[in-house]
Amino acid sequence: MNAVVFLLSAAILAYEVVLMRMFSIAQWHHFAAMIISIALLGFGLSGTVLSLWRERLRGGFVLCTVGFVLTMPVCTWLAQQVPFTPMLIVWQPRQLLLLFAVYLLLLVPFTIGALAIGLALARSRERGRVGVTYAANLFGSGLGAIAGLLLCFLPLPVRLSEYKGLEKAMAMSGARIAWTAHHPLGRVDVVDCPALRVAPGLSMAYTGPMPTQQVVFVDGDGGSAINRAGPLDYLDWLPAAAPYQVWRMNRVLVIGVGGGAELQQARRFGATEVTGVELHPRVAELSPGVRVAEGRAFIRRSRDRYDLIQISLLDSLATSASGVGAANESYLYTVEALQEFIGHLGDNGVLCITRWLKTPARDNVKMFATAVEALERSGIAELAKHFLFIRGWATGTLLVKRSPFSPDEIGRVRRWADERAFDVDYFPGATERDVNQRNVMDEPVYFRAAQTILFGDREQFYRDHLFNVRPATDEKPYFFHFFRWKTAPHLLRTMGRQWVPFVEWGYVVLVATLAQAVVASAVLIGVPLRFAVRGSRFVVFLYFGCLGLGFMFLEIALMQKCVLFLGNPLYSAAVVIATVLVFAGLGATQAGRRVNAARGPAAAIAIITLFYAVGLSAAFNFFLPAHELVRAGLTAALLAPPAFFMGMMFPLGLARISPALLPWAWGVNGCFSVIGAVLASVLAMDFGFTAVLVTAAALYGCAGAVYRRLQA
Amino acid sequence: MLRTVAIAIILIVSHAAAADFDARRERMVATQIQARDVTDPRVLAALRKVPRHEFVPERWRDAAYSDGPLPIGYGQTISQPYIVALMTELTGLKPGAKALEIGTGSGYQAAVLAEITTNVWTMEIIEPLAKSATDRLKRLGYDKVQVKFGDGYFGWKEHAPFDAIVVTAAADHVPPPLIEQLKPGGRMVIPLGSPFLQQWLVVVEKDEAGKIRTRSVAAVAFVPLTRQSQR
Repeated sequence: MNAVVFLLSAAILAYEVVLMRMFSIAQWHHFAAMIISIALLGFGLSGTVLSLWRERLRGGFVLCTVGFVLTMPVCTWLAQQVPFTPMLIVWQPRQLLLLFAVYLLLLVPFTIGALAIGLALARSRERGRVGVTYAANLFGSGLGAIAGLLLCFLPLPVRLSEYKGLEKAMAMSGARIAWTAHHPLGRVDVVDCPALRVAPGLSMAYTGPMPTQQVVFVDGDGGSAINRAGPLDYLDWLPAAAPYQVWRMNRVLVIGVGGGAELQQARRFGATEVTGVELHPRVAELSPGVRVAEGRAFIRRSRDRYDLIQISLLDSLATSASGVGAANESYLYTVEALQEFIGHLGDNGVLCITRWLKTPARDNVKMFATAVEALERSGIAELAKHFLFIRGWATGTLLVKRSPFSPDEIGRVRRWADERAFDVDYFPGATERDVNQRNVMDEPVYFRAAQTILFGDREQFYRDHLFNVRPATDEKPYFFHFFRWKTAPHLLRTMGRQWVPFVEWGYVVLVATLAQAVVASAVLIGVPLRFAVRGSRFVVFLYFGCLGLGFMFLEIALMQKCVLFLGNPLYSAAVVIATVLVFAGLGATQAGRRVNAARGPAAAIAIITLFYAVGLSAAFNFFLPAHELVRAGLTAALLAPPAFFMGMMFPLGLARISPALLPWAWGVNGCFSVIGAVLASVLAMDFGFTAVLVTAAALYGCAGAVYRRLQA
Repeated sequence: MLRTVAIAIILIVSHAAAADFDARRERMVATQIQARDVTDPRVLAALRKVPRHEFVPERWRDAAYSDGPLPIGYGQTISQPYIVALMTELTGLKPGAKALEIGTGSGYQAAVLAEITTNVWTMEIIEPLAKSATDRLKRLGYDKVQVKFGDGYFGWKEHAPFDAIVVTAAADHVPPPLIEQLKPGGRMVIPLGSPFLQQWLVVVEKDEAGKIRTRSVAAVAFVPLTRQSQR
């Protein structure tokens, strides 16, 4: 039976990873997370079903296992047939019903699979061997997570939403896909489409031709250009060409290469050494010589200095406008990141960051504030002399120079901008009359924001702003999170339903997911209480709830902390999930053998976690120069001890409660795991990852404290 | 006899449905357009007249006058009525002036423009949409609107320059040929945002000397909270 539990757990996890990928390609990443997390409530639902009808289901282990295998493909196929369009939710409440239909369909295989595992746990509890079965579950899950990632290298049967950039391009006459690659970081499509041309924020004063281009889409979205043939004059008329007017840039680093247009731009302006860094290995293949790495991790490990570091526009206009990335972590746009980029500039080096504009202004305001705080922390004097902010009709480009801009340099950039119908909305010594001339806004918002951030009461500016423009930090790396609860009523009052576009979708979906998970969990946990569960329920609820929340808090916070250290979100996920689940599995095998009470393991987890909350970042910084394998090994070594103890907690608890309560405890743990996964992100956005780790320590402490009061 | 009764019933039903759509259209203009400060009488009259329900797919017809965009297939939408009204008003289009639209879609925006001026050209790159919009505009009596299937990037040189250009197919840059084909003193309007959430519009103005300036216009009535702190 344990072998089947092992395989079944692996299949469920692999299915989850693959489904997430499929929905990210078909729809958008944040909706994928929403759908999967709700589907995982199947674990909670299985607990409810087992609590209510345990006797009837007693012999159902094989049936449920077969049921999972059969329903998995069928329900996935059916869910793909539901014409759910996330973007329409604002305008059509009917879409919520379709979303609900997708949930229900995906709930089926997860519930049936979880039922099988729950039944196996109940049976092994009766034989006093619950630890071994739970270990099989954890080992299987670890294997499944890795297998799922490997499966993402294969073509997945996905039908893209017609609103994704790739599908729109393919609807145009003459479009064809020239190359496709499958990867866990995103499916890459290179498209030949004569009617599609990419030149983000191109000057309206440009009158020349465009080269023949191919367009690169990742997960059917984005769209960056590969210039194949023809004149490249347009590159001189993009906002990102601004730094080349300051002085001749010889050593250039481009973060986020995409199709490679910015590499060509650098060479065109005479750069002698051009380094490109691209996170996605299959995208990197498109430009020879590009380094595959996460931009921040690359700069941390680099010992070189550059004349120009160019952070290109990594998202499309539509993606940026809808704020789907609000809940995504980004270690490129934090104060510490900018400090490191500035630290890698030569004495006269320039950091150039281009972002899409938004109305009302927020992205570029936050970027300016981030750069100011980064320079301040780097101990640079006369801050105001180090910035230029160039604004076109659709983009804003911030130049940060390590040494002050000279009047000559400012003059050159201003003349260049004027020829291109761009405004220079901030330069040292600017007055309100100098700005907001060519691309006119009702008020010179960017100039005033820059003045306040540099010379006024910055704290009050952050506090009073309609959006969250306080700089992101490594502790809270959510640059794209602009939503503020405090100002939401104001937006709602003044705009009615029209306010919806101004909320970052990623955040709204995250909060909606949390709300749904909480409501669904209340029902799933509450129903058996009313009909089936007897005994000291509160302590069981508290113990298994704390475990569910604590486990996910720890796993997610550690995964985030490891992203920078390991240099790639994918490696981080693989190393953390595999280590945590395998060592938790080993821990589970020891529960009831060498360890008979949960207080010791709980205290150990809490102490180690608190220690990590304080010292993990410092340890990671120290070992940063080490080889990739050493860093992966070190990560595993650091995560193994807490994981080992975490694995003991669940079987020790199950062994102590009456068998009748087991399914309910299984359900409580399932529900709180789902809530924990979402809540960890929400908490991190508002309070930071250290707070999430400290809370995890408190939760395990609480579980340890109530353990003795679990019904024996 | 039976046939006559059937025809009479169909006529009565269709007449009642048309009257119902007329009432909804009136309500749409009053509550969605005028209420949001679109005041140009020509624009208001155009939106009162163009039967929007004829421009949406059959399955969405009932929602044709609701306050939002609707899907028309191929990843395209018919914009929210307010956005259409605002864009039309921002072009400053006058009777007799020449207007070019890039991205015909359903043809609704072209029909609204055609209520103001008889010189409307519109281009669509998605062939089935170009074809259905051509048929629809003809059927509804907008036969002076010229629809061309093709790449709007190069504009419509034969009829340039234009007093107004409406770019409904959002791109990450404005095609240089379109700016060239804008008459000095003319205006181009571009909506920005995602397909279902158009948040602001960029108005491009070319002065008599050919110099370009843009203006960004929020697509919602918006009261800044930060005004005080910025002073």
